[in-house]
Amino acid sequence: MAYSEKVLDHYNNPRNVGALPKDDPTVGTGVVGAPECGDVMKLQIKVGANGVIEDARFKTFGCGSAIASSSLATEWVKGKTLAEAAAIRNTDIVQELNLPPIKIHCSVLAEDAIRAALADFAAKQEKQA
Amino acid sequence: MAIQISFGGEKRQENRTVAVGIDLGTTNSLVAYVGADGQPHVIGGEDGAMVPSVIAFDAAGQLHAVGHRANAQLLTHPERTIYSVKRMMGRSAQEIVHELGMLPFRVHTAQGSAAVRVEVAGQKLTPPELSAHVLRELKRRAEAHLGHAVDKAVVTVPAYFNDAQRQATKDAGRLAGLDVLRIVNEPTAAALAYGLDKKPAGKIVVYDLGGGTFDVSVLAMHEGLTEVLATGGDTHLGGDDFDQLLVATVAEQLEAAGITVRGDATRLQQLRKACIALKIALSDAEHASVTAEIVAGQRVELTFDRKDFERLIAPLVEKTLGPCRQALRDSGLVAAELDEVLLVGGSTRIPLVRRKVAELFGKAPRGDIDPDQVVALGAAVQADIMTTGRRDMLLLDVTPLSLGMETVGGVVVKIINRNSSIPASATEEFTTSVDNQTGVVVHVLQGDRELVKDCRSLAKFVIPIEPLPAGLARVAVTFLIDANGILHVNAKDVRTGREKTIEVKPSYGLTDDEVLRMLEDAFDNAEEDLNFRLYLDAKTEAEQILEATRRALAGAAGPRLTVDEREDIDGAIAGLLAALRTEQSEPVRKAQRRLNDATWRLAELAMAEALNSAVHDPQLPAVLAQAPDPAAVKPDHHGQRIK
Amino acid sequence: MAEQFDHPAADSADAPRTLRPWVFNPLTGAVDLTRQPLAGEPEPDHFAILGLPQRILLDADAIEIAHRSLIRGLHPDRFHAQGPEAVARAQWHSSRVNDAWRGLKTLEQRAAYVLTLAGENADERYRPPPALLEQVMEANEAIDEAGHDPAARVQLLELLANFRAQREALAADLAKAAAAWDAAQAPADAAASAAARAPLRAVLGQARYVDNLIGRATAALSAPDPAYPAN
Repeated sequence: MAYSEKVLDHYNNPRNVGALPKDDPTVGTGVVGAPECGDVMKLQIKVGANGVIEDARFKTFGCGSAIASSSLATEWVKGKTLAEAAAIRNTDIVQELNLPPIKIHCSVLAEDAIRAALADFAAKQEKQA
Repeated sequence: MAIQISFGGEKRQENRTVAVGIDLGTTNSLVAYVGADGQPHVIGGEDGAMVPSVIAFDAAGQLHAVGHRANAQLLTHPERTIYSVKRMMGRSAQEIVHELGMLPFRVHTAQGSAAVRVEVAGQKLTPPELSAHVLRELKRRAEAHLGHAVDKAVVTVPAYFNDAQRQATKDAGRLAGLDVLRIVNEPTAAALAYGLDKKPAGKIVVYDLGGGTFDVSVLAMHEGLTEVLATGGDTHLGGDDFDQLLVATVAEQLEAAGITVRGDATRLQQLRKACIALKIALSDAEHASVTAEIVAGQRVELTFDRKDFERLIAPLVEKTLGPCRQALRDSGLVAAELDEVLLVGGSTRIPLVRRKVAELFGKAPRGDIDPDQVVALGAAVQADIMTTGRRDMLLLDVTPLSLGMETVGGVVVKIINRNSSIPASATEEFTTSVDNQTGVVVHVLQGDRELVKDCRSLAKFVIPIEPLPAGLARVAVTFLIDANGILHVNAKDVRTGREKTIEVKPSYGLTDDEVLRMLEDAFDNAEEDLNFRLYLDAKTEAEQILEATRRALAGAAGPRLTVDEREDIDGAIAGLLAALRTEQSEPVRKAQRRLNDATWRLAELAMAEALNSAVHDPQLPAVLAQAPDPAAVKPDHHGQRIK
Repeated sequence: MAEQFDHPAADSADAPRTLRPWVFNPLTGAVDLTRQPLAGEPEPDHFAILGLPQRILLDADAIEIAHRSLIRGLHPDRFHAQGPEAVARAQWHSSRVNDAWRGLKTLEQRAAYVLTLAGENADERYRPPPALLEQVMEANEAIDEAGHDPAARVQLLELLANFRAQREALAADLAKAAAAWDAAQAPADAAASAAARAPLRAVLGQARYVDNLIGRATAALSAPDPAYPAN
C-alpha cells in the first residue's frame, strides 16, 4: 500500500511537538501510557472562550507509530469543539495511518490522550466555576 | 573377466552415496568427506587441497579453467578472470559499489532485478552461475577421488550471511548439480571438526578471519546438540583487506620510486601476489623481503617489518573485536565461562591476531587443526551425520539477522529476532483498511535497524484478499525460516481456511525461473559432466576386473598359464592402467575388452579350480560367490579341466 | 525416525487423556505436532507443545530438556532420507517447538504469555497510574537534556542507578505475582486466575517502562560526550 505523502510527513516532521503551560486554566493536559511497549504520551489542548480548541501540543516517548498517532491527533483536534474532539476514535487513526494490527495500541493511546486532556480541561473548568 | 564369477574379496558397496562437505570460500575453496574410518579428510589434488575460487574464461566467453589454472590467467587476462565472487553473492550492485574499484572486471545491474551480473567476454553472468563453476570443480575432484558420483553436499557460509546470500549459495549448488543438504555456518562447522560436539558440555567461541569475511560465533554444546548462542561479524572484513592495505602502501612506495602500479591491472596483480607472499612470511619472521617483477624485466626487492605490518593492520584487527564483544554479550556469557576459543581462517596465522584474540577472551586460542581446512572438515562431518546417522548429533543453528515487516512511515516491526533458533516461525494477521480492498502488500526485511532504509529488502508481495468491507477480511501470514536460514511465506485466509504458499521473489537473488533457465544453459556443461560420469562407471568396473585378475593370477590357476598367455594378460593390464589415466570412458572400455579377451584361459582355469574345491564343499553357490583361497585348493586337484 | 511419532502413545496410563489425548512423547508428554489437528481443535499453546504444565515458575532445566528431546526427533536434518516433503513438514513442526521454547525461556516471557493466552480483556487492561506516567515523562525529558549538558550526565548516572534498583524490586514483585497465579492453576480456579492476572499485568507494564528508561539512559550515556570532542 502506498502511504500518502501526508502520513509520511507525520513521521518525518511531527506537528505540534512541545508543551503548553500546564497550570493555565484554558489548557487541558492528558498523560497516558501504553504498557505493551512502554510508550508514554502527553497531549495538551488550549480551549478558546467559544469552546473551540485553538491549539494542541504533544510530546511522545515511544515508537514511530505512537509519534505519528499523537501528531495526527493534535492536527485533528485543532479547530474542533470539545464534543467533536471527544468523538475521535482510534479506528479513525488506524485507517488514516494504515497501522498494522501490531501497532493498533498506539492509536488507542492517542484516543486515550485526547480524552484525558478533555477530562483534565473539564475538571479545571469545574474547579473555577 | 569372461566368465561371471566374482573373484573379489568382500562385496563392494554398490552405489554408496557419500555426501561431501564444501567450504566455498572467497579466495579458496575445499572439499572434504568422511572416510570409512569415520574421520573427515580433505580431498587434495595435484596442486594441493585448496582450489582457488577463481574462474577463467577464454576470449569467446567459454569457461577456460577453474582454480590454480585460472589463477595463472589472472596476470595475462585479468578482465576475464573472476575472483572474490563470494563477495557478490546475493548482493546488489549498490552494496558492493565501494569495492568495484579494486576489481578488474565489470559488474552490472540487470534490468528488472537488483542482482548483479559480472561481464565476462561479452556475456553477463550472475554470482551463483560463477560459483557453480567452482562447485562443479570440487564435485569433479571428489568424484575422481572417491570413484563414484557425488551429488549431495553440505556447503558452509559465514554465519553473518543473510537470506539472499544463503539462497544464492544454494542456487549455486543446484546449478552445479549438487543437492545442498544443508547450509551450515562456517564457525559451527569448525566446532564440529574439532569434535567438540562429543564433549558432554561446553561453551565455545569461534573466531574466523578468512580471506573475505570475519565471523565470530558463540556456541554451546551439550550431549550431541550444538546450539548457536550468538553470532556476529562483518561480511566485509578479511585477509584480502590486509592485502589491499599492504598493496596500497607498497604501491605508494613504488610510485615514489618511479614505478606506477595503480591503473595497470597486470602490475596490480603482480604486486598483489608479492604482497601476499610478504604477509605470509611476516607471520614467521620479524622482517621479510620478496623479490618481484612488477614491471616486466625489472626486478625489485620489497621489504617489510612485522612491526610496520602490524601497525598497518591494527585498526582492522581492532575492528574484529567489537563484534566479538557484542556476540559474547548477546550470548549472555562472560569470557571466564568459555571453555575453548577456536581459530579459523588463514588470517588467524598472523601473530597480532592471535595476541588480540587471547587478550580479549583471556584464553590461548586453539589452532591445531589447519585453519584453512577446518571448515571443510566440519562440513564433511555434518554431511556424514545427515546421510549415515553414524553419530547421534544435531546442529541447531540460529538466524543471524532479525526478520521484520515494513509498517507505515518506513518503520520496521520485528517478527523474528536475531539469534533465534531455526527453524523458526511467526504468524501475523492482516486486515483491510478500505472497503473492497483486494490485496495487502507485505514487505519483508532483514536487519536489526529500525528504519526500512537501513534494512535489507528480502521480498515484497501482495496477499490477495476477497473484496469485503474494511476490517472484515482476516489473513494470517506465516513466516518460516528454515534450517538453512532461508525464508518461506505462507498465507491463510482465516475466514475460509484457504491456504496459499506465496512465492517470495527475492529482491537481490534469482527467481526460480532464472534458476531453471540457468540449469538449461548448464546442459552444455552437462555433457562434459556426463562423460566424466561414464568414465567413473567404467573405472569402477575396470578396477574390479583388475582386482579379480590379480587374485586369479596369484591363485592356483596362475602358474598353469603359458608364457605367451601370461604376457598377453600383463600387456592388457598395463594397457588398462594407462587407459585409466586418460580419464575418458572410451579408452577404458576398449582396454577392458582387451583384458577380457586375454583372460579367457585364466578364467577357465580359475573356474575349474573353484568347481573342484566345491566338490568337497556342500555349499556350492556360496563358494561360487567367494574368492578361491589358494591354500584351500588341494594339490591333487591340479590338472583337472572342465570344458 | 518418523515412525516413532506416527504411533502416539495415546493409551499410556499416565497420559492425561482429557487434556491432551494425543500425547506422544513419554518423556515430556508434549502434543503430537506431526498429526493432523482434529476438527475444531484449538491450536496447542507453547506449554502444550513442550509438554510442560501451564506455570510461570518453571525449572529452567525442565524447559531445556523438553526442548532438546523434542527437537532431536523433529529437526529437518533427520528427515533428509525421506524426501523433500518430509523435510518441509519437519521444518514446520520443529519451528513450532523452537518458537515455543523461545517464547517460554524467561519468567517474564512466561508471565506475558499466560496473559496473552487469557486474551486482551478491556476490563483487565493495565492503565499505569498518572504518577508513574509523570515520572516516566520527566525521566525521559531528563535523558533528552543530558545529551546536551555535560553536568546533567552525572545526574543521569544517578538516575540510571535508581532505575536499576526499581527494576530489581519489580523482579521480586513479579516472582510473587507469578506464584499467586500458579497457585490458582492447581486446582484450576478461573476466578482466582483472573484475580491473579491484574498484578501480573501491572508489574509487567511497570517493568516495560523501567526497561525502556534503562535502555534510553544507557544509550544516552554511551553516546559521544559533547564535552569531550572526538579523541
